[in-house]
Amino acid sequence: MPAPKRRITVAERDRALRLRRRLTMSFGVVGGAAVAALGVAAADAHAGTSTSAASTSSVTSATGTTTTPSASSSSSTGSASISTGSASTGSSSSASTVSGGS
Amino acid sequence: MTLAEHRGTALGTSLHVVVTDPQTLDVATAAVEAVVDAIDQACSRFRDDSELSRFQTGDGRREGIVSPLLAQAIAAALRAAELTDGAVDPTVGEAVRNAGYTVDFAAVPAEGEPLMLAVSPVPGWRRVRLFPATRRVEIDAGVEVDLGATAKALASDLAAAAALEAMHGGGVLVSLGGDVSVAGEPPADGWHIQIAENSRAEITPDGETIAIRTGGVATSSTTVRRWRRGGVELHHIIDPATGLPAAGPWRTVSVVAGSCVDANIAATAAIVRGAAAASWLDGAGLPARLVDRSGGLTRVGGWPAPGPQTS
Repeated sequence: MPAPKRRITVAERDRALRLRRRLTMSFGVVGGAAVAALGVAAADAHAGTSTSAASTSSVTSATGTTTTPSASSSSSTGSASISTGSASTGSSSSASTVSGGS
Repeated sequence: MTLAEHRGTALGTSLHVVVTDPQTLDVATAAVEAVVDAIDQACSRFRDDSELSRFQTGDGRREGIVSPLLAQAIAAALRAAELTDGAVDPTVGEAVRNAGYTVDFAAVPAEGEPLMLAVSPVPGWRRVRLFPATRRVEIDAGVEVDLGATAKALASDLAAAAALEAMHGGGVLVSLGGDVSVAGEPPADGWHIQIAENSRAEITPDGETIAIRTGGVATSSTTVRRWRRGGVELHHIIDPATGLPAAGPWRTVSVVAGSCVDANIAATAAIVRGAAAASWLDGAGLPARLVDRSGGLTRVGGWPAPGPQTS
């Protein structure tokens, strides 16, 4: 039988939101999909809707403080699709760069 | 509008920074290089002192807290795997190493003795777990993570955003080995990007060129990072289902998406998915240009028709 889902605490939610804010501030990524994925994952944890494996064991962080992992792992990011973009025909005389394999 | 540019190398490939205000080039380039250096320090599998290399040291299960940047890169890789049903999988580390790609590509010998390769699926991305709120990562025993499929494109996105922030206005384009991300106010007629199989190709009057205003463009190709072992051609895009270099009908795929990392995810997945890729990209509304093994072109998802040549 699957383990019952644990609703995270307000403190854990706030910590996740602070992390998202810090990542966003650090790199200035407003449209960065990866940051969005982390943000959505944090929101999932808050909502307690994650269906991924839960963990409640304590761990020791790199700084020596004890923390508790959130209930959500990134195997459930909540990002439903690849973001789309659009392009129009360009002019080779105006080309700034080349996209190719590397 | 006069554009200004900086060309260099980074992450074992070419770096290209273009800005719409020449006065911001220096500050933009500095911001880009800072981000790229940070990505290299966090994610490289070719540096023993990178955070990822140190984290993965050891044979058993690895677990601990990682930096915000490595957490972000792992999140991007796991998201890529989830969105592509595992076609783009970060647990290809051992497979790509077994295929002969063991060091920075510049140092990989072009020719070599035959290799014994086994058809074996990679461990699979679900054996890597990231807990975003705490940045705790767990990697199961026997799993070797390689972030190469997404980290370079992520670096382009982060670098473009960091440059824009440092510039306080204007527009910027960042290309890392042909993975292109743009941010800010574009030139009036958009950023014009020539599409090729090799990002080091010269811009030519007859080259197919597109224009974008936001997001990113990425090209994945089996034609550039290639090497031969025992006379057999190998390349760096691993099919997670077989653990071997992908052997589908497409040799190069270019995609436009809302970010460079998303474009890269789609382009790499298309190489792996093979024949089904064109309809998958079209159904997802992703403008894409696919080149088959004989050089034939397929354009889907609203990829623009080639314009008149300027030669």
